[in-house]
Amino acid sequence: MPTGKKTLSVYVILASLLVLVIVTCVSLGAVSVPFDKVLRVIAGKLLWLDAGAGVEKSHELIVWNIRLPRVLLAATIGGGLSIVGAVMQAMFRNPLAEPGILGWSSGGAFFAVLAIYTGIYQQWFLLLPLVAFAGTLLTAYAVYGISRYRGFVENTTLLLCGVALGTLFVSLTTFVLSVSNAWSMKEMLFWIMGGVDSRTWTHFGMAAVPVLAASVILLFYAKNLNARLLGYETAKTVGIDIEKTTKHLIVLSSLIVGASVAVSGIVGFVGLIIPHSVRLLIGVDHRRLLPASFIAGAIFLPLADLIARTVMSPQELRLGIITSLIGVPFFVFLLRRNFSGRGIA
Amino acid sequence: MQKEKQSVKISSLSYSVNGKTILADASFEVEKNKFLGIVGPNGAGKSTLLRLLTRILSPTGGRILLDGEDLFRYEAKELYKKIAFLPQTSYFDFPLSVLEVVLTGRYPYLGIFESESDEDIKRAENCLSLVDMEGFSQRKVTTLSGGEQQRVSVARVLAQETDFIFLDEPSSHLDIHHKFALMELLRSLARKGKGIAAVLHDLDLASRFCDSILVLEGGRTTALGEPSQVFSEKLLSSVFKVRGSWDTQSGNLLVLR
Repeated sequence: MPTGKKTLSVYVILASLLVLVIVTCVSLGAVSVPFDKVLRVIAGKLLWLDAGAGVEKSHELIVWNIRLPRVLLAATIGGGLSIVGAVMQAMFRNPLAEPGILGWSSGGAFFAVLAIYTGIYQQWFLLLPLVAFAGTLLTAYAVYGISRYRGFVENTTLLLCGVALGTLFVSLTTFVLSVSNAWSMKEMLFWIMGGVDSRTWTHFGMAAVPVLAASVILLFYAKNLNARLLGYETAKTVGIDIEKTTKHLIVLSSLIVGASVAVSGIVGFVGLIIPHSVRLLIGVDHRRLLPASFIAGAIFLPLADLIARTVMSPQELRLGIITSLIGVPFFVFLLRRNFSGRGIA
Repeated sequence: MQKEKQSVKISSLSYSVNGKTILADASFEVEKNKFLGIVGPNGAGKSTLLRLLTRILSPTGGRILLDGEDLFRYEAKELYKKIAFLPQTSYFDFPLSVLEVVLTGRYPYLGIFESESDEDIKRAENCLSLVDMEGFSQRKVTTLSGGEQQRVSVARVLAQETDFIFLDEPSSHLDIHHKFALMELLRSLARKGKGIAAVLHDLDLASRFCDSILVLEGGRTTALGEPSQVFSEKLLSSVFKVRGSWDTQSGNLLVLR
């Protein structure tokens, strides 16, 4: 590719930033742990070295048991939601498509809440993300099916239908929570304005396995997504099986969204902010856009979470509030830009 | 496999949706070395016909043979190495570069994780120069005019390097110079061995450049043959509601109101 060198340097910069951000976010917080101690604890745990020797037990606890799983989880779902955003925007040829806006996240969250309050999630650690996946998939198909007419997806219908179904599932979630326990207000807040607070290694495992697996598989569809940008007929006549691969793309994307929502509730707008910013940086070709969006999302969400837990310390803000505060102006900007007919990004 | 004549042979092709017939009993052949113009009033079924020929739609009756084999027996990638399609509308809402758009024409030749080779890029650049767009390869398609975008789409179709090319109103959006240039290009491609079929609205252009003309009216084939035979005064007035005649000096069709 003609822009190979630039792409490579973007990857190198993004990857270095990711490492830096993860270490920083583990280091900072209500109790700050110095960089070197963070690195020593991580090295000690991962490499079974005695690098961690000499670090206070409390610091080790903060780094390894509290912050690292939280930061890594934020990175994972940030990456996952971003790659899904990029995929959805190409798949529907709609710059405003995003798991939150199209109602997918709300559908997944509702099913996750059902799984928790019926207790079935205790059967197996991947059952919760799988149930949330089922809910996401159901919502995704409903929105897609309703807005499809004679093979074409109508853009306005798609967005409106997503918003409507999203609102429905938020209402249903609120209903289930309000009849099922005394802590319903706090729980509602968790699911509707998502976050990664008090998440453990188990939560990380639940999300990371499906998110990483599905993200890697999505990379195989990069050229498919490029062709889709030129419209149904062009994509079809350069050999893309639209009907079949749309199913693949919806299932893989739902898996990522479901797994994310199951452990962190609804974190909106990430899938909008990141892919559009990355397009400005390295262009539209999905062979570059998808991996770069994943890394950029993995940088963005831990930082947003850092803001959420430090800006009003000792009180923590919900992560979903931070992403909405950044995302809504971005959404409005994209909307205005579209009206002016200047295209996307 | 026995050596069949390379052509797209259409027999008794029909298409109806919800009981409404869009195309009825069409039979003709798109041959290599020939430039076929498909004309007809709005709603005559021209676009539907092209969508059937490119397997975007499935016919409700009749069959299409590509090089002697049923069109629907082909694997998608194999099929679209043989036929390419320029749709009526191309979408350029995302800022792909011109080169990236043209390179999608190489996708039928690439494996799932395979990227375009330098050879592919060279071919794409070459196709851009055929449509008078050299030097544009790094421009964003979103910044081009409608006519320039249309020429990029034509380059994409050419990059597919197929035996047969189907085009739906390829000269719309083009200025008069590029209209002629495109028609000349299509004719020269036919002379070099490709089979071309294009839906055209401009009867004058069609009569000058096409080897044969297919007239559709209300989903039915009204006439098929050489332009000079097809475009009779009688047909022009009955099908197109215009007066027209052949200028004996220039040999061109003159269409009047």
